[in-house]
Amino acid sequence: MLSISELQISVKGFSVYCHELTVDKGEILTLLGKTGAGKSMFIEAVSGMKKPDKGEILLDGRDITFLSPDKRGIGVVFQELYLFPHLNVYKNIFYSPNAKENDNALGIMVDEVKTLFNRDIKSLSGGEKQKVALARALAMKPRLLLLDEPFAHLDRPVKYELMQLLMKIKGIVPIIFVTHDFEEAIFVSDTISYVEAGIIEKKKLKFEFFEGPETRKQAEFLGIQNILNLKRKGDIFFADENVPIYFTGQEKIEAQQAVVSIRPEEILITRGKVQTSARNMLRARIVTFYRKEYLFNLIVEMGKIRLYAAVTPASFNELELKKGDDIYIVFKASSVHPIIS
Amino acid sequence: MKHSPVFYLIIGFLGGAILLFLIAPPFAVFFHVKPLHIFAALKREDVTGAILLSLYTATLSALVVVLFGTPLAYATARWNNRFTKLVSALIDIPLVLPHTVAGIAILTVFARRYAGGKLLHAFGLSATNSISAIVFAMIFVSAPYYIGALRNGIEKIPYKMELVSKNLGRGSFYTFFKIVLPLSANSAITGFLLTWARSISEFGAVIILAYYPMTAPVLIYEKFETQGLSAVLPITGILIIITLIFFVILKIFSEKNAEYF
Repeated sequence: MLSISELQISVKGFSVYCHELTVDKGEILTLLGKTGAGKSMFIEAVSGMKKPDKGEILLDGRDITFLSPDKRGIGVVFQELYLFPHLNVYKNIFYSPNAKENDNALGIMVDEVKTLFNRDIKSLSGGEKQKVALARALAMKPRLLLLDEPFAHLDRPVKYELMQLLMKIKGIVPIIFVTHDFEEAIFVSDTISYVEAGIIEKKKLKFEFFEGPETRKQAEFLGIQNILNLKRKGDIFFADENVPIYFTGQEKIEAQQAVVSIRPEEILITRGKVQTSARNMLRARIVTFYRKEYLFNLIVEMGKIRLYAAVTPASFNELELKKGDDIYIVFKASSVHPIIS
Repeated sequence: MKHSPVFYLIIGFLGGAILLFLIAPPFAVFFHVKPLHIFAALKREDVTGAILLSLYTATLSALVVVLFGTPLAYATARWNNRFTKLVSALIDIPLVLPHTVAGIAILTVFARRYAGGKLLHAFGLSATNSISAIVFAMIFVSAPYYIGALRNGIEKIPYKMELVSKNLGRGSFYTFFKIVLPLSANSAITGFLLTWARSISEFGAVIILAYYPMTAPVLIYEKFETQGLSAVLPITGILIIITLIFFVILKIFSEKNAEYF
């Protein structure tokens, strides 16, 4: 198990800080954040490539904070892989002194790479190289596996094949997976830590994270377009004069204002009023709509307030939606997430 | 892309002129010297002695440069700070000195009466009129070539590749010999051959430190001074052939060897 506390790393005026982070065996923790947020610097500190200013990194109870990289037992796979180009696949995989051919540390990976053993690195496809790099990192029997944007350069089908492979090996070793792509994060993670401007935030379970981003920036990063500034009148919060918004936990908020987010997928469109347990039902007008991948995105308007709603093609056709139509939008109080900061 | 005829004409004329100027002399020597004379020269002890001495001292110099220069090339390639940048610049100083000046400069440190000279004497070496003197002169003027070539080669290897090797549980020496050196071997060999070629052709610094024992370039100079042009042509031809062979080896190496980065 990896356990990090109060870790700080600085390079040329930029610093990365992690208050607390743990990763267990069988867990894939994703560090999710934009390029330049500080994810790679964090990985370099954990793997021993950069010395932290302060803090503590414990791996299986052992303090490795200032240990040299060759004594840490941490496997790393970078986006650039850094396979040794003058060695063949076999020699790459068994480069580590801990790597033994008849070991089952490689387990599931052996079948994936066995046929490549005698090949030159240069002759491999992108996906094959990726597998070799992963096999090399596993063959050393690591106590922790760090994957720094490993799939960023790959085509979608290859990426999904490799992510499935990752799910198979995840029981063997705790894994930290770094990405800026939240599709990858949804696929592989058990837990997610958001990284922003050098701060590694507290980890959350995957679904907690995607359902309720805690900051406006997280919400924007996740592509949640609906962020509303609410004002209190009595016990009720309003987005606009006639647009009350009910949300779970609102009674606990003492401030006069609140900011909330609503995922477009959580908003249901109906032609008329419906019987529902959902506490928010508002009359709105369709401003416009456009296709976004599989779904239709509608922009609806209630006075000055505009919201995005995502509708499946089937519902879109069934409801015969057009620009300028008056409709109702329906969403649950639990789909409205207060953003703390 | 097509260019105007005048453009081609200028390239053909100016480029052709300097090309001719560069390649004509080494080949012209062979119009004036008969193979017979070359074989006759090879039978003379002073000639073979000088040529073998040149080959021996140049090879020894290049090997010494490899031994001492490799760590410095690594340090200047990898440790990127103000100190190593300064060191990188200092290494190239011998390249800008006139070679006779270089020879005099070496003497100011290693002549018998100075500190360096006393140290050499303790090891049974001397910076004047000895094989070690020739080697000193050669190393001084040729080491920058090896160090510079290897430094460039090492700089091309991503530093993270070394770190990955360490993460896999290998130490600094293993990583250096299994990753860094094989991946920069091409640059190291090119640097070695450049250093060797520069050493065998060195005259200015060598003659200041060691008129005797005579290396081939010094012998040619002496014969030219005392006996004139035609007397030196055979040995000149021999030296051209030897250096051209190494030049061809150098070219084949740099073409053939796989570039990894």
